[in-house]
Amino acid sequence: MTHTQETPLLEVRDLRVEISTKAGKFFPVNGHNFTLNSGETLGVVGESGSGKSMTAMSLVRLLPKHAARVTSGSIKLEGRELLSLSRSEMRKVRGRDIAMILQDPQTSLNPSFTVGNQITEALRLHAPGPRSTLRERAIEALRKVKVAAPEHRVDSYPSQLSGGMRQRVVGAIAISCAPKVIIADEPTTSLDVTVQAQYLRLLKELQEDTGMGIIFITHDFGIVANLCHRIVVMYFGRIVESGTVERIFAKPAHPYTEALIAAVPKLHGHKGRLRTIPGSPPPQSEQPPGCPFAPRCEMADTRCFTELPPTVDADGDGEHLASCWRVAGQ
Amino acid sequence: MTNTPILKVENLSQHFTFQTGMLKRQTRTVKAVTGLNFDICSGETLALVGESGCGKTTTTRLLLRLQSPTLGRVLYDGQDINELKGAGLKAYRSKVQAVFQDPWSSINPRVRIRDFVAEPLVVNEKLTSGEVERRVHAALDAVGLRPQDARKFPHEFSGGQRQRIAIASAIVSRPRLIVLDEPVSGLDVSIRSQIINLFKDLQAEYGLSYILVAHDLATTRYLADRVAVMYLGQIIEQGATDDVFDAPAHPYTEALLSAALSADPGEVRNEIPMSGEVPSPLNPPSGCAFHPRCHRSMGEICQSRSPVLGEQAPNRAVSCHQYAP
Repeated sequence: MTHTQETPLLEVRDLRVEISTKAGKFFPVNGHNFTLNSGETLGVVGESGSGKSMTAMSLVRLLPKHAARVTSGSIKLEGRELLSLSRSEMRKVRGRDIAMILQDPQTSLNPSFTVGNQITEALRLHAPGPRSTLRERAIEALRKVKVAAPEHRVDSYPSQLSGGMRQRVVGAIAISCAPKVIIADEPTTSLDVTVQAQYLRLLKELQEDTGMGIIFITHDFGIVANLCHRIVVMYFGRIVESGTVERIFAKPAHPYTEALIAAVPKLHGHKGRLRTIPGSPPPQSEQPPGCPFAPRCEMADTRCFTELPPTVDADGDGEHLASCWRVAGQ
Repeated sequence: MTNTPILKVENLSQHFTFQTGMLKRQTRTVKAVTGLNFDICSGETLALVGESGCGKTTTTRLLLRLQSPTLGRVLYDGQDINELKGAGLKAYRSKVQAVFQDPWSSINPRVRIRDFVAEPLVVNEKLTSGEVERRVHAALDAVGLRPQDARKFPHEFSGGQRQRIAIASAIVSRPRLIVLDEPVSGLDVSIRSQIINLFKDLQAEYGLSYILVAHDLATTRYLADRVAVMYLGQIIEQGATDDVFDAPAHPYTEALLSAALSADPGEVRNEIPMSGEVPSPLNPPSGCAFHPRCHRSMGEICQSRSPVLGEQAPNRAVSCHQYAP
């Protein structure tokens, strides 16, 4: 790895994804800017329909064909522009440099192939070798994700494994080619708390060993608080706030972030009434002229409904950005 | 809160047997739940906590009389629910309701909201159509929906509103107890708190009791007055929510709670790692079912003898050899 501190591992600038339908054009990813450094975990937080998964898919260029496309912006991996790569060049990046872990291990594994076969699939593409070597490396990958008795498990079918074990296998596939970036899209939602804790600890250890960057897509503030270094908060296709975890939890600048954090019951907190956010997110077909959160915001004034707020530096040191008129107007 | 239990569970067990092996000659038994004992008083919330496969869902199915137990009884106002018939059973069905996890699959998409909400009344009670209409509107109003929503179809609503509709249908027959099986885990964060507050409001207004099954421990702590922690089909610890969360007595409870992530980056977590996964209920360990994963195992006694759920303090029961030598 040749990149220095100045070049981030992954740099996304002004990324915009458009979906055209008969009903009109929508922007599930609307002007994203963020960076990811090696050894860092970036949490992408938002509710369903906020564009989290579309952001992930656009990074690996796996947007649904014909329906969605990237219209502008840039995605640079160690300074190399991914958006201008040809399809075959992109295939070499996917899995080798950027790997993904998806939400549901039930559906992301093929039930009719052994675990070993599915791990070596990525290896066969990116680092071909004789069958015995590939098998050794599949066992090695299983050992890294702490699957007990990997020599036996490599010949198991997904149905023979428990949910937590399957998610480890998905993790083994992701790390098999030693990627620089892992995009994890809600990988622990279907797991029990104890298994979730084991899995998150495993991800942390793998990160310490390899220095990979992790983009963690989630709606769980517990995971964000424990695992992530920095967060971007998404609402209606836009990043409304970004900054370090400590800063955002201690002093959220955007009313949406603030309300979202206050709406989550705390394990060791007061038992008073939970804060609620009235209403629900607007449907994508309605493109409001102003701030998309304004109709649900307690602090909105007339300007919020008519003009889109700019993204401004909330604390004056470039570490904490928010797009809200309340911050911009100060 | 009064202290008369509306539901009393006595030594409730559900075992499933099936044939296996050559010519199906072997009989094997899965003990889904064994020897459950608990009460639910009116106006209180009891939570069942545990990992998947611990028997939470089987328990709720037994309480709803969707299954008959192998052993033991569920007493509703002193009567065994499995002996109820005819009018008595209909009365039980209308007084004990349920709200499930997924508002997308628990509502029939081809039925208008009015008909969906009215179903418990139509099935279990004899009312005039005017009375049904009035009750449906009152239920919709109680969950924060408008009377004109009654004419709409489920697809016209968002996930949070659908969960409100499911709740309206659960309260329309004026139940005394509602089983909440993962009632908010399918919802977005901002909607979740609306629904949690709604459960609290309805409880305060109608004196409802809840049995809550939720894997999110923070939600459980927030909603429940008492908790029963389950492991491999047995209750291993029971007590007031705050007592159990603040000072867990059973090593399993301790480890489970330590695994929960708090939405507070400043909080120091001392996670107690549990080795391995929940053993298969087909082949449970000898002695205490938790001993292979226990960080406080005392050796011989834990491996050979299964502990009994015993009173450790007033209103607090634990099933562990450490407390009953």
